[in-house]
Amino acid sequence: MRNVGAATEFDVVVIGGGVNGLVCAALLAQAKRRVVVVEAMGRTGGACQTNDVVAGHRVSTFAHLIGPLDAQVVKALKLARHGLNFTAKQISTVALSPEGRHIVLDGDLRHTTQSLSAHSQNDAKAWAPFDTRMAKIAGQLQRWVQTPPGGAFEQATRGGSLFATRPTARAGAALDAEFGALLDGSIGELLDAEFETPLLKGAIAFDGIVGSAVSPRTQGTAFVAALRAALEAEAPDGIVHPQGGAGAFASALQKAAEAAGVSIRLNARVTNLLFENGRTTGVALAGGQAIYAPIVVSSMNAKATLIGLGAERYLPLGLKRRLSGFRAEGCVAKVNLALASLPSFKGLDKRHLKERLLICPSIDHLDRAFAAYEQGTFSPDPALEITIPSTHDASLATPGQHVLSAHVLYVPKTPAAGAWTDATKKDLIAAVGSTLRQYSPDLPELILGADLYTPADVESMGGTPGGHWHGGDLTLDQLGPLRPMAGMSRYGTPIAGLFLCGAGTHPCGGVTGINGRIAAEAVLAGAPVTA
Amino acid sequence: MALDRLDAVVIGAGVEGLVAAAALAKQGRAVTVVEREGEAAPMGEGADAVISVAVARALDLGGQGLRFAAAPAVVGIAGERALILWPDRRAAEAAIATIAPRDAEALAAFHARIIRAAQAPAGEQAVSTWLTAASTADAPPSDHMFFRATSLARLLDEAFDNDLLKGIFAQGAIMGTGASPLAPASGALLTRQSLLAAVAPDAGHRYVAGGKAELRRALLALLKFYNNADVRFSSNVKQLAAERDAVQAVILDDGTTLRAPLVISTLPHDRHRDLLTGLRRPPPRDLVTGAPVEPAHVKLTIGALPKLPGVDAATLASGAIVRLDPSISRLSRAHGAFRARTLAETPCLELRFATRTTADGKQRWDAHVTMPYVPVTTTEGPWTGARRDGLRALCVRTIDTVAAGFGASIEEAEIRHPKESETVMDPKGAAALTAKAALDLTGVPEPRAASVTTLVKGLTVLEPSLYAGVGDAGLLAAGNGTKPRAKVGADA
Repeated sequence: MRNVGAATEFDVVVIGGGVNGLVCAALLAQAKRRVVVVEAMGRTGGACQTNDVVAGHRVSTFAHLIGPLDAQVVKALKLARHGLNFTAKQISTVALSPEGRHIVLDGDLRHTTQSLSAHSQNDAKAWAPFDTRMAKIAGQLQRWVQTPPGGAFEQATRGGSLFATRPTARAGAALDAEFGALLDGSIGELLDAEFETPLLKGAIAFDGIVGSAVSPRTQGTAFVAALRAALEAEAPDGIVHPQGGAGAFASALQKAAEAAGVSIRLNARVTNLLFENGRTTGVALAGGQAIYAPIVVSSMNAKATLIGLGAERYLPLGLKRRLSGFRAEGCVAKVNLALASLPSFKGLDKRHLKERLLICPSIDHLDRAFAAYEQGTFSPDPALEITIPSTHDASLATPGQHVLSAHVLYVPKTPAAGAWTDATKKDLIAAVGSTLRQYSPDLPELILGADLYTPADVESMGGTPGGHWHGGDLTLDQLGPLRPMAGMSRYGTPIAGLFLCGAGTHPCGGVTGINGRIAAEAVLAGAPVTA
Repeated sequence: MALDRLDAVVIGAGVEGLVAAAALAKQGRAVTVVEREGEAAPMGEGADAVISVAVARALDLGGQGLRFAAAPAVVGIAGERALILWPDRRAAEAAIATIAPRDAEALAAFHARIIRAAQAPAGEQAVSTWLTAASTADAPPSDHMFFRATSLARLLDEAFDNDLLKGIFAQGAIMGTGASPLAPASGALLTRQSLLAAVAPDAGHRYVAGGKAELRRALLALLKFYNNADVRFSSNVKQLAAERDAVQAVILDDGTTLRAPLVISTLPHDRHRDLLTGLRRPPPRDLVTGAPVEPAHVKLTIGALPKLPGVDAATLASGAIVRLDPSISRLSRAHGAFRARTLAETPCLELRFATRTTADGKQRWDAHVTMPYVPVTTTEGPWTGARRDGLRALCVRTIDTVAAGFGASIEEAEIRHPKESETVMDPKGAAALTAKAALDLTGVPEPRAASVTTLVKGLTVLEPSLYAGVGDAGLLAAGNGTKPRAKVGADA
């Protein structure tokens, strides 16, 4: 038995070597804390990994687009020095049309208006005012996504700020009443009021639901779309692709963390937290070893951390129940394809192949896919978010050959008919193949190999608990001061010394590093235990 | 009564229309109610009514023999086990304690939480604005905002362990909507007056003995008592005639013209666009709203009450609401089927039994079966013969799994909804739905009080709210019929 307050080897244990864990660890180490990261898998990166589909074809295993990265994180970690090199920046979205009348959403008013006018003159005219309004909303949300929810930013950083300068807050703290009322509704409702082109509405609706188990007709999805716009507004490079895929991004983060003095232990699964006198004193690893430190920061979601790691008995019943209501079951699968040559999409300019290609022809299409998900299965015609990173990153495939990566919506973690089998996985790959065929008839013939990761696979392979993109659904009841729950939104927990830094904290998931950065600030500030 | 001297015409002899007419008649105004259907009650029997105490008092419905009643018991059956939530809380706690002692202790706190959330001042602040406000985390928790943000499932998970108990509450809350119990914002459905009246009978709304049918009887009796009021059944409205941008008269199919300075209508909003004539421009589109999602209603007549596990005949005979295997996950799957415009293979049924004596002097029981999440039109087309038969067979099959031999004992069956003659919404209509209506059909109805809208000068349209009590909109229309957009609190 150790004495509380006795010297320990480390000041902080960070559970999980995913993006936010590494960011948090590196920033704490830069602030002269002795930090160790314990990672259950044999490599860091969490949802950011690169692997082989077939020999000679490498692709980002899970997350395939990086960003919008937090500008402060990029600056503080000097990732370029640690080998990070982007082969594409400012990746924009192209909404694919089966007839080849694609819509380009690249932030350039002219491009979008032009591609829209092939569908509807009304929509081409309505685009600019809509874009302006969304930018205004994003502006109002910008400060909010960069800072801890509720309360003033200074409160979290008081007593030892990481950064001398305050975040670049431009707009007010809260949404004004008019926008608030608009964003309470569904993204479907908002878009139906503005536009008539189903393809345009489908593509934008996709951003209101990505990763969460909700339909585009669910209340609050408009808010999530705005939140994403706010995140993107501040990132200088926008959405990026690192040379070598998401795994290369994770290696750069790991190198930056190690350069700052962080120790990293791989294959170290935490079985439970250690407690003394009601506060945490470290973690116990599978195999019996313990690592002691006065502060533990977990990049798993609150439920997986507090209930999964044995803190349950220190929590009051009401709080335990509130935590168990947190929804974090993934509903997105990933399909990676090795291709013999570059596929062609009807009517799509080759330069657009490096963009984020969406197959989501309408709101109803997405809604139907969600209806299938609600019934415990997947739609034969799923919605896809596609990247073909080998078009700009030659390191991923032998010359002339390519890799394609697709997120698939919606896919249950556990189908109603029972756990995933080889046969049901084959069905899903076939559904993705036949969907792709409608847009690129030659594509299915080019497939040399295919990998599928269901949400269950993402979880078991160390992606995230629940296999959820965002560490928990992005819904009105799990955002801001309610993420992960009221009273625990400022990165502290009711257990003294225990903090959260993962995607399941404010503002949301995605590869941004914001959560890890604000969590580090909260730790340094000795943030109040509960808000 | 001279037809040319009317003060008001009320369209629709549903409860709201009758309340409006009775209130006007009481003020001494000459009023005529026109109703498309005949005098026989359409869907009334078997349906509960929760009335605002203020409405009952204002119209002195007690004088017509109307009585308040305790809420019906609610029974959930899962496998061989039944859980009976008696209207009396202590009795309900005792029942829950036998299967989930911790949940029995949590019941009072859950009721209190719902009541607080329902009675919180109906501020106009949006949830999004509240979430992003700088001071939110420092302010005391605003539970009513959380209700508006979160799902039924999450609120129930926070309160209870037992899935059957959670399923009973969830199924009651989603009834009449197209909302999934897992949908964010569906938590607000717990603040419906129909649910509140069961847990807080002194909060302003009460159950009526005999339900909607009895309420309708009392209202019709009251209107007969006034000689300045008239109800014309089997009278379909052909036209709403406007002159100088104001509605002046209601013209019926038989050619009768009822002239009045005020028309109060209970028709769905979009119908008025077709009926209005003589206007220089039609009323604005944004007032078009969707209809509530009516559950299917099948009446099955049997000779004797079926044997249901864990529920005695006396409880069934008392009008208890029986939910078969209610659970959040089953509701969610059924909701998925609804969105896909089909029916769930295992629907979430609700049963109620009422007795009657037939013309030949025999006692018969009617099983009123209600099925939520019934699409307005199926993927194969509207609800016609074979499809409706399939729906009835599905109900019977489902009941047979809990009460063996039930199907074989059915003497008569009647499908009251979806109707064949009157397609609720044909596929063309569904495609033409506005965004607002699409949301109404699949999302969570906005928590708001009943209100009335002046659609065109002289035409007041009632907007009953799912969250309000029966009669609230009718009384409001009669009181403030000429004032645009007046609203009254649901708990007034």
